[in-house]
Amino acid sequence: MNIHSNINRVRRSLVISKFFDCFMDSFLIGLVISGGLLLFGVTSVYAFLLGGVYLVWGFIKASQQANLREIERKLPNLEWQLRTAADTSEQNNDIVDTLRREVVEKIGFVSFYDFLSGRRTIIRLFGIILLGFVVFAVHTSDFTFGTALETFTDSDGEGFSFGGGPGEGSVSGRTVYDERARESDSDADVELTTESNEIDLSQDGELETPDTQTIGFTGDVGVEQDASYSETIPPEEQHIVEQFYNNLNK
Amino acid sequence: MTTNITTVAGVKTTIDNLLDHVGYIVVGQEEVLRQTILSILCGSNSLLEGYPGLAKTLMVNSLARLMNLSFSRIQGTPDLMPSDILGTHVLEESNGSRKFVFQKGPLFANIILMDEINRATPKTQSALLEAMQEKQVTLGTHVFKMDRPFFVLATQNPVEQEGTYPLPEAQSDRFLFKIKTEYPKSHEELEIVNRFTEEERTTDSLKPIVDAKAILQMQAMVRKIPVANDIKNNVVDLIHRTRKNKELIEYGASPRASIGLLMACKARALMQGRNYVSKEDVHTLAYPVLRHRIVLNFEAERNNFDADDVIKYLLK
Repeated sequence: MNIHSNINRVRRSLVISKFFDCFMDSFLIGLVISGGLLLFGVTSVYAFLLGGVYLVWGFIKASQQANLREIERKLPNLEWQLRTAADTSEQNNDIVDTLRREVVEKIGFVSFYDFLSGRRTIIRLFGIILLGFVVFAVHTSDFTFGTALETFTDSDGEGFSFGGGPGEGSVSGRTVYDERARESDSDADVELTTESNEIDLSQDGELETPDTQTIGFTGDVGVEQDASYSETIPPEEQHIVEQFYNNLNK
Repeated sequence: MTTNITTVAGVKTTIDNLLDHVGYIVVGQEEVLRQTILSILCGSNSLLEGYPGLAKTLMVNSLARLMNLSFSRIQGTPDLMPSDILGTHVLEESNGSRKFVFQKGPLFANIILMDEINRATPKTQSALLEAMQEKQVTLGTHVFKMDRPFFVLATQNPVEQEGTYPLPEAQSDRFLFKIKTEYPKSHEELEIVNRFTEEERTTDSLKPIVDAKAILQMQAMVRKIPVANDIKNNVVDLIHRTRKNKELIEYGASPRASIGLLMACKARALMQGRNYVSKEDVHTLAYPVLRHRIVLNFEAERNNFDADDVIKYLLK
């Protein structure tokens, strides 16, 4: 029944639990800083570097704090008993022996899990998951404060307004969209004419120009006007239609 | 008679039993009773400050009976002489020869109730010093050892200070505790009235549950209770603070206070069935151990602070 070896074992468990807590804290810190850096368009490697520094610092601090008082604070049923047993390990009388035996019995079942706070661990885990999603979302969307600011300042000084009045910008807050919408509207206003739809296929280099000189039609092309169709073409425009069909026939 | 006092749990059971039996005679005053027993377990003496009629004598007498110890009551008066309490040499004639034989005074008992000690002259008060501290009395060239356990419970009245001789610091330092007794609460007083007007309860009905040997054994066990270094440091630090704090304290406590406080903490732990001392013991017992050992300065008195207020401040 060596009280010191038992206490050292419990102390190790406390250090491991503190390291675990510290690891989760440093991960959380890494994620928070990473998110912040991504928003400024800076690589997140620095964040995890800082997280690593925190982990080392926190672990050293935790190791220093892993004393008997801390163990007693985490395990209130050992309050003052552990320190008394440790401090009086040199004494030998029936009362001290009993105390030592009681302490060894009590700390016999103490493990790493006894020092973990379930609630805090769950909160940290949720925090890590949530922040992980946020950082992932920021990373994939390529959203940065820089681009957001640029977009905001590209509004030609119109500013942001919910009023939507003339010259006050748009309810969307993005006047560039309005510009595009106006351009689109002006395209729609162009009158569609036959000339505008005329395509000179011979100008397209990728298309093969048919050899109309050597290839001839083997038979006549019989074109008849359908009876249901009636169209009155003014006499002064009949030569245009005739020319169109001739060209088409070629 | 309960003699199961070889273990800490056994001591706790015995003390609880003792308290129950005293409770048959004395109503309330539990804290006073506990501190008196603590004082006996430490082998020390206590100063009891309280108004007359608060069952001080009854309580000590009951304890003496339950512990199967001899009990003496000495009333402090201005004309009380040292020889009245210590004893004196008397001329005795036997077989035709005459010789001086020492006739032991009332001080030669296990439990002494020195009632209104501050009414006795400083000379008589001083006569108690050696007995209280050294557990012996020197008369001429002879040294008389007191029977063990030896316990002095001195009382003093907080009012009627006229014609009294306040205890000098050197003497009050020899008392482990200064126990304050308060008037009983209404329901306790009703119980007292019922108990003592309807039936006659005297200490004669009490049967011993421990004896002197068992008390000495318990006193030895108190010394065996281990104490953590942090507790020891805490005690020493507290006593040092009484000396350093010149804002409120004129004179601080002596190293005897450190020893007394630590011993009292050990005894309290044993009494509660613990084999270790906790900080709560220090905080609880600092008041009775220190309140008569610190002398407050004018500033503290001007602010209407009493010793307990200052101790509370020091414990923060």
